Amino acid sequence: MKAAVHLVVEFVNTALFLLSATVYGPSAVLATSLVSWWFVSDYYFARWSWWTWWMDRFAFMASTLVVLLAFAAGTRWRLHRIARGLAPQYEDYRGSPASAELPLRAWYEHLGSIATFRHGLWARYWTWRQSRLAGLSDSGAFVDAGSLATLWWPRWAGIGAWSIAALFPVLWIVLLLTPLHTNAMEHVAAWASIKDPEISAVRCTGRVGNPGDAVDEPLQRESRGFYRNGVCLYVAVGAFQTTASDFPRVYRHVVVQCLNRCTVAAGPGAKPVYQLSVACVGGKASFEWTHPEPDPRSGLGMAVMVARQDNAPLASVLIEP
Amino acid sequence: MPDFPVRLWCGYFLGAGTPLYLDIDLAGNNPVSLDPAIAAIAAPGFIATLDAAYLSTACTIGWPIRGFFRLNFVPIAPGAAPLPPAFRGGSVFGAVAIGLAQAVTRAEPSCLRYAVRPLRSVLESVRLDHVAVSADYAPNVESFAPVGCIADKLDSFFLPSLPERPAVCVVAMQQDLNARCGQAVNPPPQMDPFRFTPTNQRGFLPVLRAYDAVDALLKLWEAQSKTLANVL
Repeated sequence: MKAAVHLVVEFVNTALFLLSATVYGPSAVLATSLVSWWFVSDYYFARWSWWTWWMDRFAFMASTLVVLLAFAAGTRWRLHRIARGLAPQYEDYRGSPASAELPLRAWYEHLGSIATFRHGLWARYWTWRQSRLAGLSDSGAFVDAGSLATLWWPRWAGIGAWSIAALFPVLWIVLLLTPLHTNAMEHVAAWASIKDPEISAVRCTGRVGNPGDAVDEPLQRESRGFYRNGVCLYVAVGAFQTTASDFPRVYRHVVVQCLNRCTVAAGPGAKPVYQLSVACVGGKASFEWTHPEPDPRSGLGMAVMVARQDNAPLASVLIEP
Repeated sequence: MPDFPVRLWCGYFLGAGTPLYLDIDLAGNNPVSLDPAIAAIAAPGFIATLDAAYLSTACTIGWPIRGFFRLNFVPIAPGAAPLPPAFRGGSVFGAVAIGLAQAVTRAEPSCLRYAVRPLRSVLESVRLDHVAVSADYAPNVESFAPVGCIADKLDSFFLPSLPERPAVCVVAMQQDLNARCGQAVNPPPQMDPFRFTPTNQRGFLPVLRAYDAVDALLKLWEAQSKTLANVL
């Protein structure tokens, strides 16, 4: 338990050091926060079955914490490795170096000495630890090694480090309050794209006859739209899978509209409807339809449209108009 | 951690190696006095060594206006290695000088000489309770000098009846670790100048070579900083 608390304290101190005394610490956290927020905001995560709405909201904070934790772990590992290499041949604090009790000014000098053993990260970390003690007034007070790490936390000496660290939760709150799904990436993609978005293929699946042979075939593309031309013509209850331009990999949706001769399934057990919006992930969308009269001469009369999150249409096709 | 007594280890040889604690406490009416039991068996040469340590400390570190310190030598294993019948020679100079440097700083930090004032924390806080010292006085250069019979003294730190061992032994820079006065069966040759292997081959004792008391304290401080870097 004591070791776990010590580890947590060391991680907090290292994280505070990275955030308040280095450039790459805050840069990494800021970049991760913004990029991951932007990703969930505009690219969205795939709608996995276990993915719930609040994950879109909070995933960017989790990823930022993971990055900060990884940075802190890497820094601690490097410091630990150097410290192990410094271990002297003899151990004056035999048995109890962790409970060594010294005046605060002696700890200040010890941390200063430790900082001189190596350059770079090592020196910066221990100088930072030393400067945390500089602001403490009771320099003659005896302090044990265990409480040295947290001694400055509730004092003025820690205000600077805590303030800089607190900027990131403030940023997170701002990002949390900012609306998600801004379609900014859609605009960027529309501006950068050479080709207009389109629905390039429609595939028909279903069963025909009794007991029912499986059907899986593409629809034929003609000037007015897509047409069934094989066994799919005789399918009464089938499904279409549409393929649309899949860049950017944003979460678009496909709006299906049955103009007069078909219905689409809103879900298992639900009443058939004439209009339905389904998710379009990675350019793919699937929906089930019912054709009351599987007569090859009567077309489905269906319109399919790919739309942005704000329902602005990107591309549309007709299926057997 | 109490300020007093300041305690360190020292080895003494008079016919046989004897491990002793040197305790320095605030007491007495002279700048440096001996515990009456020790004073009764101390030879004039031994008193002169203490005076030299006092003068050396007063000149390099400083001395409190009312700084009265009492020195006591306590046998660590009274059964196996009792107090010697007499105290002679100068091999405790190093221990007394290092102990007095810390005692003076702890007693009155404001009396420190200007040159060593930045070292206040080092002087007052170095842990000495696991440090052994065996060094004589070189008056012409005001520094540590090699002691005789060092192998016998260091061997005494490995007596099986000792409750513990020192972590390190401070010796003079030119100290030859092979110098032996007593009889020993197949004493191992001391090849490593920074490590002493005892005759009974029970482990080894790290050796710290220092020019003087301040040098020794600074080197001990550095080593302790390295130890603490692993636990902070």
